[in-house]
Amino acid sequence: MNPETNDGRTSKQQALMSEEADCLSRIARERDEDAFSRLYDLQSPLLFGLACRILARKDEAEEVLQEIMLKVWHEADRYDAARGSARAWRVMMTRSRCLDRLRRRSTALRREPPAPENLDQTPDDSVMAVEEMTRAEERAAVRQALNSLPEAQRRALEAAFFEGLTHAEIAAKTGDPLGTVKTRVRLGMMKLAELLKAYT
Amino acid sequence: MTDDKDPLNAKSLDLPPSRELDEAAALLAYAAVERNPPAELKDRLMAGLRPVPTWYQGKRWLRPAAAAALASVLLFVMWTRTPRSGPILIASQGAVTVDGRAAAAGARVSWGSVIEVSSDGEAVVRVDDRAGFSLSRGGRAALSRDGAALSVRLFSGWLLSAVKTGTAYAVVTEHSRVSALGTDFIVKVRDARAYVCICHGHLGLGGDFPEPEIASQAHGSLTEPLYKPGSEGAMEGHSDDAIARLRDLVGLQH
Repeated sequence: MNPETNDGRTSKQQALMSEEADCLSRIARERDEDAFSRLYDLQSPLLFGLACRILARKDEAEEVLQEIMLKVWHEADRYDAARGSARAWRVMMTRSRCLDRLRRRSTALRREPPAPENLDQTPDDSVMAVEEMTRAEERAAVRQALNSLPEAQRRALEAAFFEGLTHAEIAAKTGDPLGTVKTRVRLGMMKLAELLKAYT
Repeated sequence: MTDDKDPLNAKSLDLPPSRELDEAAALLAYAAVERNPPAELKDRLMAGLRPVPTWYQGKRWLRPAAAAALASVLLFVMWTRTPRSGPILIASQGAVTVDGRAAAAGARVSWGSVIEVSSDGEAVVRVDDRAGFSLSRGGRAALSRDGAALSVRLFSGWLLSAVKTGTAYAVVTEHSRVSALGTDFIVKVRDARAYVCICHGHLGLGGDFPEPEIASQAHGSLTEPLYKPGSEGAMEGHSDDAIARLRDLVGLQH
């Protein structure tokens, strides 16, 4: 077990976040390619996995990852630490870009969200060991937090995050009243924020 | 979906803005399986990195500003090159008809319309902001346009033209074609024969004229098929004052 700091993060998690922030800063200040390379290694598995999950197409996921990393390279100086972590910045940027692509696909071609069994649930063995261990803790924490939510809340959150559905669209999909869906998402997010406080 | 509609943001959830909430939303990414992208993707990315020039750093507004400036210039050029009105009868004297109907100053003239004036009449037409003409001596003419190129088909009478330099403008008769290459000029049709007087400038000639073009620093006339300096009274029916008046009427600078 890693020793926990005052805010609940393990020292490894803190070191990792600090290293990411440092890489971003070096890219912004010095156009440091080594820092970019390191940041890519640290972040690309998470971002690529996210893109694959949303788009369900590897070729498009690669394009999105390339766009996002180039954006990081060119616009690292626009990152404002006061508004959130570097990880959240890139994750939400990736999600947003993926959802844009998803919406551009014609309605007829829009896929149903893949069933969990269709996804490769086995992490790549080659993901770097140290970071993977640290990320595995976070991933486990997120999944534990999600699993602790009522099923309906968890499904609503996943539909919103991975499919980009609005409250109304989730309601239409599940057949539940709009107010119920809003309450589920609200309660789910509040609970999640509370459970993951140590990682935010 | 805009951010405001994103059901995961604080505003949609009727909650105060919260960093913890935003971070928790981002952590949902861990619900997906991490995957390593293909190795060649990183190679492509690293090869494609372009250092931002020092002078450009912190000046990202330059690109949109330059694009806006370029767009403004293009719009201005298009505005200056676009005719802002169709042909219009500026002044008339005697009997003037357009497509057989009596017309007075201020009447619009459609492309393809036939303008006729009595033997003692005159019609001054502003073709657009680049050209105009005076039709007289029982003149009969029709206007046409092909893109930016203007032309007047002259069946009879005299047609004195004032043209802005660079404008594609021609007077076409039964057997000839006179193109403005930077001049004012008069074309006269009599007995199915065209006579032209060049008034300080450069004309292109086609059809039965013996030369493809002619330039002159003074009034000088030529007749198809033979060039006859001074023939047919080169100065008859027009003068520098007449040209100045025409230019004033159609709004061209001298």
